[in-house]
Amino acid sequence: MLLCALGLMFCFRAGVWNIGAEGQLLMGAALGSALAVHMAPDVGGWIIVPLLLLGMLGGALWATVPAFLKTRFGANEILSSLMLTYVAILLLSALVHGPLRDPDGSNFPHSRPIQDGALLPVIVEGTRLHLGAPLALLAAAAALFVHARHRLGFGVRLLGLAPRAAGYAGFDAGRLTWGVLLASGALAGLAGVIEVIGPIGRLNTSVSPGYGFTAIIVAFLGRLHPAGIIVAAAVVALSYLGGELAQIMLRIPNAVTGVFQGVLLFTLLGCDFGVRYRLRRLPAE
Amino acid sequence: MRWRLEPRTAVPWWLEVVAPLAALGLTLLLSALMFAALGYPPLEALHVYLVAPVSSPSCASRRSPCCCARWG
Repeated sequence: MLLCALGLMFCFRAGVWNIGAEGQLLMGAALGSALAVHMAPDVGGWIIVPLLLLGMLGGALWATVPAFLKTRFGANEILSSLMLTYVAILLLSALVHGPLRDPDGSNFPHSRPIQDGALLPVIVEGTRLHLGAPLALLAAAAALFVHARHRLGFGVRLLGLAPRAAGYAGFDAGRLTWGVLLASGALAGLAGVIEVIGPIGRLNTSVSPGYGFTAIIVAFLGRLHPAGIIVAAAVVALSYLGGELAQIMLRIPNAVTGVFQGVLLFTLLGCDFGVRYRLRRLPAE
Repeated sequence: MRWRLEPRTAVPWWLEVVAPLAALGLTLLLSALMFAALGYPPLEALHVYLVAPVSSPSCASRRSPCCCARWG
């Protein structure tokens, strides 16, 4: 979620409404695991780097479609990116039912398990905490640098606030749109492949319980700032785990987690509205 | 008496910080009401949702890393 939200942060700051992080995540997971499931049993740990890069490539490739449609034809990226999410879901389903299906998997829709050497190493023994968490923090630090100190971060913010001013300042709106969408797709794809070669260990149709969509809430809850997004991602991740725990301990349906996140989004939008507007009493005529 | 909704010319920085915190507080309140309406003890449900995954020793050892994994 942190990785997806960081990518979305750049998009939303630039006024590019990428709603398809879920699809980009799934395509990153699919492309990364397409290589991972074909690894030899004695593969070394070095393979993790190409797998991560392949995941980023998968997500970025999926983001090229809304980027091309927006910059070439002016198509609304909300619609194109959102609709591509459903294409990605069906494509992933076709892959795990077809070419990537585990031949020894009793017809269950999942791939072969990924070899131990290609799995992300656990960094705290006896837990599931793997290398993905520090990688996400590293990405947050890099995003913070670009956002606050780099010329590109300035261009992205300027494009969102005043597109014409960005043009006068020498920033190409089309290139920046391509850049933020590709970066967002790459980060979502990285998140997807980390899920597959991390906690799940194989590709299946439930790689993501909607992380790409929840990342939108995380990005806005974190005020479109990397530091805020780190905290917001922790809070929302807690709600996922709390939802599972509440289902076990109190028999509260897990769907309540979705309701919790929805209420959070609506109250956030309401509070944002209250921040941006104020009620003024008109003088009596 | 007439009122008009108008955009603020400048948003103070502290309001930008307070807004998500207020949203979180409101969400907790609305969630507690929802749990009560569904017949679950609201305080216990909120505790299980937001505190239990990282509070008890057994949960903290098993769940916090999961939280980090999901967070990442």
